[in-house]
Amino acid sequence: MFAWQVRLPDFEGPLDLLLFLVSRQELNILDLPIAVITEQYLRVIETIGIDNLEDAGEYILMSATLIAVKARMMLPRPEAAMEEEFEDPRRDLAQRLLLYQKVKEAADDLARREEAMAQRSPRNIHDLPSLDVPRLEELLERVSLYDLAKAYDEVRRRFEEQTVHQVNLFKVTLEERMAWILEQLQGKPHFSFLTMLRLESARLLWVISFLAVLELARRREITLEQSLPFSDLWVCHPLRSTLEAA
Amino acid sequence: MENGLIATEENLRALAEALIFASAEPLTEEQFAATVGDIGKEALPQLAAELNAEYEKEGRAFEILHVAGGYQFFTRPDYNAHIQKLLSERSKSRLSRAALETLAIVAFRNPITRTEIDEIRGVDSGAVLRTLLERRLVTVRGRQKGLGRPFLYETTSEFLRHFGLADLSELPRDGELTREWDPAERKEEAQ
Repeated sequence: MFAWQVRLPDFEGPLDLLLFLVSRQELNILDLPIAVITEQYLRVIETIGIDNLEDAGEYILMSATLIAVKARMMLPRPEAAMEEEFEDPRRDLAQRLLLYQKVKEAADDLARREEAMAQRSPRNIHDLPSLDVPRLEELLERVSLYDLAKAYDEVRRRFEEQTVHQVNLFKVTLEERMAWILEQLQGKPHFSFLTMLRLESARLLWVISFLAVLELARRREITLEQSLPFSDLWVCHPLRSTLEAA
Repeated sequence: MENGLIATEENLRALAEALIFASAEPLTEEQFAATVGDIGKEALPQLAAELNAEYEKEGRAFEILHVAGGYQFFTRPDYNAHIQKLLSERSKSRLSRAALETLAIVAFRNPITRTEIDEIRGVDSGAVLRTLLERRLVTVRGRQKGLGRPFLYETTSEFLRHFGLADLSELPRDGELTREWDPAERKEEAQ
């Protein structure tokens, strides 16, 4: 068993745990006894219990990686292969560990700097993290009682509108809406999609109208034109585009 | 100059002191030179050092630090306890281990995608990154070309200020971190 206690929150992830095992035993990252380290790693995971792991997926992934490396280490080395060409199966893992070790050192360095700076107060700097964020007081400076009343009124009105929508449930089907749109195209070559929406006040109807337009376009019963991205849509008779009409 | 005071060798140090004192953000060398004229070009680091030597001699409670690309007054650490008492609402919270690691990685690679951060840390860094964005220690610089056009993150000047860094060159960079692992090197060590 382990001579040391391992609690999960002490680790930032599987790499951190591995580095802990490595440093505790003063192992060389470049020449890891992979069988030993794999066994220890798995035992720690088992001891903690996979359910208690915050990043369980990542810990399991690392288990798999370790086992795969261990397996490849046990394969006989091709004698014919040049010694230099032989790629150590532990190479990737060692590189990741070395890189992560550097990250930890850099994080330690940052922590020291943060601690040192926390002991000092700058002159003339706002407490807000960035100066381009307006302070709440500044934002509220120009707000009058009238503005507040107006804002409240708007919210109230929006709320009331919503209530009305909930009461009047529309019984419009997609088919009906499609028929209606085609009907609109009887007399004229095209019409504006946004203008059509403005005739209606119910959000549900907007959605159905949009779906109807899409479906009709798909069936090539209408064509759609748009002059700019996000601008109004022209719902057109399939044979007559706005360009011709213009 | 409007009030007749012309920047000279004699008053340059006092001018530097005045401008650093009055500036809301760290005073840069460029701002200084633009304000006092050519005589102030590249003089600020030396002037700041001279001022600091004076303050030190006189036992003043503050000094000038080189942070986020400029020069700014900071109180000395000795007075922190009392200052914190005065500014009682602002108890400075320290960043978590995960946040520090993530910041270190972003600083190495400036800019970097989230996937790359996850790979280096071996765990998901999404939540940490969101916190750092909220605290404005990192920001989105743009999107990487190619598949999925992922966001590219980089550190901010707030990051430099938070850690008391003049610029990123004070931190280890990419090259030192991605040193290739050479099996031959290992063999040598084993001998």
